[in-house]
Amino acid sequence: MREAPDPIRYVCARGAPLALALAVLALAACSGHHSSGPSCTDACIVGASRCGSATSVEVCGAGQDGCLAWLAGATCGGANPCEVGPSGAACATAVDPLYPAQWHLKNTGQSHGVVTGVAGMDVDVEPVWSACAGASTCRGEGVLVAVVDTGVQILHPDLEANVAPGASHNYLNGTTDPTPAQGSPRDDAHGTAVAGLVAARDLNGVGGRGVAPRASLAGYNFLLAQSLSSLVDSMTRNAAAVSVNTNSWGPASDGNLAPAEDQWKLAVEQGLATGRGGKGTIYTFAGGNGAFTGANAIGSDDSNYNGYANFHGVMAIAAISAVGVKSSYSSEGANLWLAAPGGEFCNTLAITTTDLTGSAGFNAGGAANDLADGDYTQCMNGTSSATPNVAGVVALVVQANPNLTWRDVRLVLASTARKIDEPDADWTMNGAGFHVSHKYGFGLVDANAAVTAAKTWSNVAPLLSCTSALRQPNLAIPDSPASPPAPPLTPGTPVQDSVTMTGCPITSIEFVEVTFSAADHTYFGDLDVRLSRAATPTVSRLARTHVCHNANGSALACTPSYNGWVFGTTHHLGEDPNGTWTLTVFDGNAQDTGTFQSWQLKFYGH
Amino acid sequence: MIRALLLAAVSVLVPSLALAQAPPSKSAAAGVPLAQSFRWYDGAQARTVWLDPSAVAEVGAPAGAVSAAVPGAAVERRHGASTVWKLPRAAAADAIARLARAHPQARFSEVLREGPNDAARPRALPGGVLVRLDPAWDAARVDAWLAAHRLNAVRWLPIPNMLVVDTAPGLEALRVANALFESGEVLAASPDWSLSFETR
Repeated sequence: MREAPDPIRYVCARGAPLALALAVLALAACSGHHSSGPSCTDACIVGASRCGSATSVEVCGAGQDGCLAWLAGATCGGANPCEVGPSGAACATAVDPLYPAQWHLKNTGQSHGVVTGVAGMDVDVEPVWSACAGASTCRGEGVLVAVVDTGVQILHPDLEANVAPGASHNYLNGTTDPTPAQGSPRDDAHGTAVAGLVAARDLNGVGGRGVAPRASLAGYNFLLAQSLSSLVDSMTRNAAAVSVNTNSWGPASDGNLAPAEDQWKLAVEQGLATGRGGKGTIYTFAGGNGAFTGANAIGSDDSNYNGYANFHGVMAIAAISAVGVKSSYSSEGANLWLAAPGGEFCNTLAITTTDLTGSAGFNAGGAANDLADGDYTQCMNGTSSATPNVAGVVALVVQANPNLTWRDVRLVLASTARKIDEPDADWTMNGAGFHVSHKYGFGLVDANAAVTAAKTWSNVAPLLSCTSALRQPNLAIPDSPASPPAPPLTPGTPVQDSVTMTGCPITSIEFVEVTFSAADHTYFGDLDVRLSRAATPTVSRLARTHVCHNANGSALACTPSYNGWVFGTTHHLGEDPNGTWTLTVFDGNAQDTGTFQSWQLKFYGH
Repeated sequence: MIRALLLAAVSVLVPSLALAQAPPSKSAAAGVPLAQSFRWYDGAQARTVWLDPSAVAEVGAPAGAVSAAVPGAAVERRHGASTVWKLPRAAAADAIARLARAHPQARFSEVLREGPNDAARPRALPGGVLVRLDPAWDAARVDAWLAAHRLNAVRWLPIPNMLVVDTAPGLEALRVANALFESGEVLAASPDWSLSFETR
């Protein structure tokens, strides 16, 4: 384990002119300066023991404990909190040496392998940090984020300063240290990588940064226990203090239905009701890595088959690549709320974050894409990466306005998300004016826009719900006309049923649940299910024709079938539930048949 | 070539993407059908799981214990201290009995699948039942209820009157859970399942 760095000793000369700092630099002495804004106002003299060269100079100032390096020719401004001189020929930039590689935070068009990113396709967080430099009010200070995963290395040099003392939990031994054991499997580094994306410490001279680089972290190693009781506990532990509960896990993306346990739902409801001092813990969940392209697309999972990610109390997150389109693996689904950077693959542009220190974890050293510093990896990816990026943004949002309820946070994020990949045909503008997609939810999370909106947001009215009549059409679903060896995915004749909602007091939908049964269908993966609302263009594709498969690609039985399965859809956000709704079902693959037995709608909103 | 590289790379952190080159076809579905099913209660809803007679789960067994007891046994999945083993034949009941005798400090369980074939996601029963009692009950009433049923609370959860009571591992945990729920005295009673999740 790496030891903690020596304490920084420095002496500040508040108000000293910039010329003094420049003069001291010229003498290769130890100096820096502190800025409370875009221009420098303070200067400081740093303890000599910390300043061995002209390229590493301590910076000081109220509330700061960081280290800045002087980079001749670098451009000041943005994330660079201090400027040295008016020419910009010499300026200070934070010594988070891996930060320049973190395209998910600031995409400048970084390249790796054959891929070059598209500038701006990031979470847009630098303006948030810059807006309050030194004021300790914009980088997540005081916001506790629980990382439910394989554990967190709480003494990692880039995490330790942000780990909340005593707030973590190890389900294997009951202690407050969820650090993976020495010699544990490589994937046990996953939680440490996730934690770094949320809140790797900034301005500390090592590694990179998290989205909320001063937020507090708690690690719950639920994935090493995986008992139902630890699952319930991990959703509610210390809920009064936990602002964000982030989950980069899920059932296998094999195309089969994975219902969430009732006790888990109860736990999440408890966190929504009592978490964060009664404002509600915000839950982020990975949308899933079950998408395939080309000929393998028939094997694609849908995030709506995951009963955790499609629950109304969580935000399901999709992943985008550095070029600003859906990551090839990111599952689609009507339940997705947002997209965030997850990258593609290790030999192109994946995500740079913390790893178990030394040769443990993902970066064992010696492999083609291993970073020289074994405490970090540039190979993190997946909706596992996208999800904590959103969790970090949530931390910044609730810091900006602690009075927001969990529902307001979601609405702020949806209202400020960026529409990306505009040519993609899946985008729809719904009946309330929200752009929404089965690939991106409401779009790419935008920290700056969200924090800005949060500051003046008026909380919405209390949550209401309405339930439609239970419809039991019992319609035989015609089989696909294709017959082997003809190609699959030939739609059979659709069957439909409609229900008219009246008298629901909700005027603005926040989430819709669709409970659907076709329990006698012998291969539910054949079915395509879509919800539409009269007089609006919004169509929620709830299920898609697919083939279930295991991790090796071998086909699996798609069974048991829909039997009271609850789909979730975000696509009707802001719409009025009153009106006529139609569910359309067709069979897209030959040989198996069944019945559209029943369905029912439940609306949440205000 | 690029695709092969991508698949190899993505399997590092996105293991579900290690799909075969040939598109899966439902007519070639893998897995051995399972015949014996069990009911359990998820809240008030009855759900079904299927017994896999060719698999066992263990928690805390010495390294090599299962493979020594059942030559040819192979790890299907492992997380933390829990492992699901696939056996070369349908011998789970015999294997569990022998292993439990040989390693009384460890816990061994049948493996139950979420679908009716042995390729479906596994669950196991390491022991314990997650019970939810009426939140209006005070501590004295909860204690009295536990005593009346000769149950020991081994863990309290951060939800009012939700607790784990101790049971033997394996199907006995399922039997106790179902009996408690069907008694009508509790709001919910589920085995404290060992579940199957993956990182994303």
